[in-house]
Amino acid sequence: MPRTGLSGRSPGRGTQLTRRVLIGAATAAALAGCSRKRPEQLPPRPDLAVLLAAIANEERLIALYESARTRHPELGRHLDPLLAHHRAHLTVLRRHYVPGTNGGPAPSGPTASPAGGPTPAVPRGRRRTVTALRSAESHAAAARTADLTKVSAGMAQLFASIGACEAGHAAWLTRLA
Amino acid sequence: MTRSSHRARPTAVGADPVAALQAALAAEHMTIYGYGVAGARLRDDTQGRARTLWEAHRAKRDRLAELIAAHGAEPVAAAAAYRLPVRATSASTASLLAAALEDRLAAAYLGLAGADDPRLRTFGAQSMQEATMRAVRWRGGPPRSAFPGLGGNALSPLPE
Repeated sequence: MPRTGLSGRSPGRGTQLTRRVLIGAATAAALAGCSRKRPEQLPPRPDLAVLLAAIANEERLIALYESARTRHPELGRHLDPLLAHHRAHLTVLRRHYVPGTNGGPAPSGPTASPAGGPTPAVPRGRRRTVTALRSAESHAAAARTADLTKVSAGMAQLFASIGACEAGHAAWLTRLA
Repeated sequence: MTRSSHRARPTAVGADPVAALQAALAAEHMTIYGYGVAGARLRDDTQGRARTLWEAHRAKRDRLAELIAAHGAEPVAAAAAYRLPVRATSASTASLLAAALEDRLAAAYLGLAGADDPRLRTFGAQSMQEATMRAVRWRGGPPRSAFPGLGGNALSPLPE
């Protein structure tokens, strides 16, 4: 079953991420207290840095879709299923960051839009808006593929699936444009 | 071969790459067979598209067989016939058959996307993207799932 794909052989993988975060935070606190070395000089582990980039990317896509819907309400029924997919991606990616907790050092809260981020601009025309969304989806799919080799096997499969969804979105938006 | 043997049976993480390659190859065999069935019901340009994709899947099959042989294993053979996920009785159901085959193919490449070899990983992920894009075109709608090739259980890290 797919469960094994992400977690079966390494049941602690998700919690390892958390541990990394915790260890990183503890180390940072120790360094801040005991030396002049600044905590942000600690290099993040590859899995974590790549996961955070994926989370940020999903947040940008969600904000872009929301802007597109606001500017072109008539596109809503076409864009809503895609927006729902991105919200699902974000939920799952965040779950891998701090599994099973409501607090902790999550990159942002449960809201869909990035906190305090500027509203992304979308073009005035409907067709150009769809083209801009398609381009963003294609870039996102390519980024997930490029990051595959930097993460654990289970995370790579999740990225591959999300990238496939985004490539599918791009194909669908090509038809809509 | 039973029907279940063609489903994605991925995905022991970091598993033997040959098993992941064989799962993808078995799914390509079924897809090639299914495109033949669908193509008979399609017309004009959709039939041409099915023909083009049938050839693309044959090329992918050959590539997978080469990779398996390069690992010193025997590529899994095609079955004489397959139980297909959709009965193609018209042009529209033939398109749905092709879409369903591509959805299954995406799942079958998931194991490669978790391979240790970075080239196989990228190959698996790109193949999942291609399959999902083809499914979208055949179905005339967006991807059916936010997580092509993955089941819901896979999406939560297990608590320790």
